Order: sequence, then C-alpha cells, then structure tokens
Amino acid sequence: MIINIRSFSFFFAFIFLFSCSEIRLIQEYDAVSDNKINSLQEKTSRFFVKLNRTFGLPENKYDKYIDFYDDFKSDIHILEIRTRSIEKTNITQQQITSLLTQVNSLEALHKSGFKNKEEIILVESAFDNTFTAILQLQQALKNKRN
Amino acid sequence: MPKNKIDINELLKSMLSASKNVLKKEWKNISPIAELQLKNIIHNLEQIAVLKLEGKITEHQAKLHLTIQKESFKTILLSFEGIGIITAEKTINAALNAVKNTINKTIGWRLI
Repeated sequence: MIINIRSFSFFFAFIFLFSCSEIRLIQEYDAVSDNKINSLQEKTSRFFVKLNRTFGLPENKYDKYIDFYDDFKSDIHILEIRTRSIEKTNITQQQITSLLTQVNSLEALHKSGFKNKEEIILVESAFDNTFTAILQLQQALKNKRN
Repeated sequence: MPKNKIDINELLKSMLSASKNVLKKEWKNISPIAELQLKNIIHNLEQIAVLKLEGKITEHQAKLHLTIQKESFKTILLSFEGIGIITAEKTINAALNAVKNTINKTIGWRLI
C-alpha cells in the first residue's frame, strides 16, 4: 500500500513538472528595448557620416558633438533601467554596458581630436560590429517566439 | 614567420573554431556575418598597431582604440552565447513537448 502511494505521488510529481510552462533560460523578446537599440544605431550612423564629412574642419571638433554624447548616454541609461526590470536579461545588460564603455572611449578620443581619418574608420567599424552583434541577438530572441 | 608577428589566419581560425563549438547547429545561419565581424576586428587591431608604430597616435589613444575593439569583440561573443542559450532552450522545450505528446497519446486523452 505504501509503495502504491509513493508510486502514485511520484507519478503526479512527474506530471506536475511536465505540465509547468516552458523552460526559460534567457529573456523573452522585448520590442521596446529592440526599438531603442535600433534608434541608437541610427543616431550613431548619422554621427559617423557627419564626423567623416567634417574631417579636418572646425566642425569636426568635440564641442560640436556634445549633444550627441549626452543623447547617447541618456538612451543607454534608459535601456539599462528597462533591461534591469526584465528577467534573464543578463546578456543584453552586459552588451549595453559594453556599448557605454565604447562610447566613453570614443568621447575621450574625440576630445583629443582626430588627426587621421583612419582613426574614425576604425571606431566606426567597431561600432558597426557591436550593433550588428546586439541586433543579431535581438533578432534571435524575436525568432524564438515563432 | 618573424618574431612577434601575429598569424592572422591562425588567429581567425581559432576564433571561428571556438565560436563554432559554442553555436554548433546555429553556426550555419550566422557564420557569414560572424566571420566578417571577426575579420574586421582582427584587421582593426592590426591598423591600431600600425598607427601607433608610425607615430600617428599616442599610446593613450592606442589604448582607447584597443578598448573600443575589445568591447566590440565582447559584444560579438555575448551574442554567440545568447544565441547558443536560445538554441539550448528550444531543444529542451522541444524535448519536453515530445514527452508531453507521448504521454497524452499513450493514455488517450490530454493529461498534460
């Protein structure tokens, strides 16, 4: 009798486990974060177009781009808060922190002034790679739902 | 090969191999973009070294450039990791669904 009760309990525990919702190892897709990342990528793209075009001119100086840096950092802060409020967003959070480190380094380089166009090309290429990677993950999260 | 010269092809090969191990099944879908990204990073690292050696940038500037490239590489690896986790999640859930379907089919009605 005891054995039967145990077997019965085990069977129902097993059923309970499998009837639980799906296993989740990573965050669900968040359209708000994805849109914000896309918007940041667009702003960055415009920034580099202008930076390349004004190379060697007074318009290329850091002072002319302070608004971009302020805007970028505000958006990053909004994204940090947003992702922190969602479960299992550890990877996206790390990517956002990494993006902030990159823009801080870019700002420091810009303050010292770009003397070679190659420098701008190098930084632009790194940002392109970064955004491609972040958006790849967002796309994969989006596809996960389908 | 001269001393201190980085073998770019060897470096790329090992980076790609490490990425393939993480992603396995998903690798086929993302490998064209991933290879391009990794090649870009390696090329950029070379360029930074050239700019520093030619005296076009200071040591401080070179360090800032390296930080940007390093962080960019980090975001790529994080995406690989994330895509790998999504693959694992899909696999586990597919297996759980298979178990569910089998149990329901065996008993003849929808138990779970």
